[in-house]
Amino acid sequence: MSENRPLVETRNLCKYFDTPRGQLHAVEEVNLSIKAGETLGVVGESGCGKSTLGRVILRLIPPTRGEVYYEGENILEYRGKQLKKMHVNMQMIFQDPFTSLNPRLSISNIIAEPMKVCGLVRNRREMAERVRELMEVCGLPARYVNTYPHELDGGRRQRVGLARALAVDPKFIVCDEPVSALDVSIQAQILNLLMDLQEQKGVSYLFITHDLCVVRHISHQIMVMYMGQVVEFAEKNELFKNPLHPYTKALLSAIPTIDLSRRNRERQLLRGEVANPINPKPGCRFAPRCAYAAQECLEPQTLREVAPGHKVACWRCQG
Amino acid sequence: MGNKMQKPANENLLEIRNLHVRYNTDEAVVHALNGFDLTLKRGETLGIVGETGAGKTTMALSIMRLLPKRIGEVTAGSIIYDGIDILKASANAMLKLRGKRISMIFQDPMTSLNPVQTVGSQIYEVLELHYPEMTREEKHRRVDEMLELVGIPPARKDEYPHQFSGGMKQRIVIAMALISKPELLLADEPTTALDVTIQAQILELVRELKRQFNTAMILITHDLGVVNEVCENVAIVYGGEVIERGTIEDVYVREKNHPYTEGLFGAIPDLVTDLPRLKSIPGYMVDPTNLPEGCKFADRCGFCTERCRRENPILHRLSDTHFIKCHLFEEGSNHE
Repeated sequence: MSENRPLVETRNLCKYFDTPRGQLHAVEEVNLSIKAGETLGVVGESGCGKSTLGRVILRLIPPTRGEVYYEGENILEYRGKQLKKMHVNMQMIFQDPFTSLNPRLSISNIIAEPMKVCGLVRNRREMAERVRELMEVCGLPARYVNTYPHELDGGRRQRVGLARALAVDPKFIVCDEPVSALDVSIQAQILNLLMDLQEQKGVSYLFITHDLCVVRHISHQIMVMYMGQVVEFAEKNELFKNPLHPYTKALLSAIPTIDLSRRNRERQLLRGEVANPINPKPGCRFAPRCAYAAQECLEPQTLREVAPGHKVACWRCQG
Repeated sequence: MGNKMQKPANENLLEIRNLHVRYNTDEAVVHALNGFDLTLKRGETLGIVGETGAGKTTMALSIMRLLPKRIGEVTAGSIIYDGIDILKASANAMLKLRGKRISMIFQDPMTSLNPVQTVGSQIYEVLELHYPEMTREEKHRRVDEMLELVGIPPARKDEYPHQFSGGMKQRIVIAMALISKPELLLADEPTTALDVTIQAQILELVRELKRQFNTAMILITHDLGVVNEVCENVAIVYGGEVIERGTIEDVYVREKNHPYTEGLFGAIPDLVTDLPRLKSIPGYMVDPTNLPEGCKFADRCGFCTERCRRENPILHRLSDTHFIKCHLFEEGSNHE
């Protein structure tokens, strides 16, 4: 693979859901690209479409429109065997380690299942060996091999979920809030493990989270979503040093941190709450909560590059 | 509330001494609190920080005497609230305390509201129960005022909980908790279920209402950041004990901390520093069904010695406000 070609790419990806009250635009015209060995962070509040985006990319739900490319090939056209091959390269870690593991399978069977499905191992010995290896990589003591999910706590279950995703040796993993359900000391262990794996194996991540501190720590590029649309996209340091979109600014102002100097900062509070993007109007979806809203905001806002690699969907923002 | 404030002799509103609470379940005995000490002054805002299973919620339930019947058991210690011994008080005395002088806000606003009762009548109910002398008009006026105060149009008081969003529901719960003008508010993870921008709104509301009512507050959370936003003082809890206590400045300046507190700070990514990796705390939370003899943190601590495994440390005083429960801070010894 050439250096410049992205590993995963989407073009005008859309996902609409039909609801009794109208069409819900969960993901709207998302264009993203992730290079091999890099992490793209997706931040936003609940209902902004970040989880739907992750699922559509993995074809867990079919998109309404748009294309998803893996190493330059449109995976939406894949059928049968090709699909199985695709899932060898693309895997997922789920948010809730309590509901994403089959309670009736032992830990070793949970980790072995993707290898069986994809036909990656020849015999039982090889499989057992591989499970042992994966458990070690993910920091699970070998004595858990025959236990069941309910016997483990959240942190260890999340390690099982990670070991299962790694079982097929994927090049790309969608991490959907993998640490949100965990305590901070355990959260740090899992984040470090994910970063170590990236360093050793060159895995790419699409890291979905609502936590700006976590996303800053783990990502190379960051995408901020609001009601299904990407409102800002930039390299990590650029985004935190020079946030442009009013929503990004408000998010940054809202996060509680352990920094004493931020205690008495001027807080920018957002009015109101996130609405549902059901039959949305063409204009900026953030406008009803935006302090700078004006007549121009009724026009559709498109992502524009205002500085190298820094894109914003707001007509007011100039680099 | 006003007349209570004029008693300067008793500055401490709440004193918890050496509290031991355990849960007797079918499988095992869970030691939730193991010598929990805490004092709270009138009007003070204290953050209680700890991870899952540290005993934070058990502490709040003990104060309210809402521990699960037959399972939860206080085995030692005392809780004194404004001169009243909570553990010995009659059921009737508790009814007068609970919801009137002490209020509680729970993590999930959906489960703490009655789904088949309008929100207005749920707030009204508090007044009916605790202020029977008030006239109906007076009560209705108070409900409207309170709704206004928490940022909900009083016109919506005849709606049901499901018609409100999560943030709005938490505002209603706060209105319910504060309408009786309590002296103490126990907030158990009040913003954990909310989005950051909504969390910021609720925290601002809490700050504002505290200024107005001068209510003392215990804010229970796992998030050191949230404590930094609203509290003056903080207590860090591990294995059912307070292992560090101080003003926000004492603790957050990060010069002298309990090794566990240090670990917590190291494990949180922030918005300023760039680290290749976070410093995680090795191992897992201490098992409350099988507590070690000495320091509960010994197994995960980088400074652990023979003594730590043998002997549980006492709370050492570093300054008038800052206390740490660790052998490293014994007088005469130097930590870093």
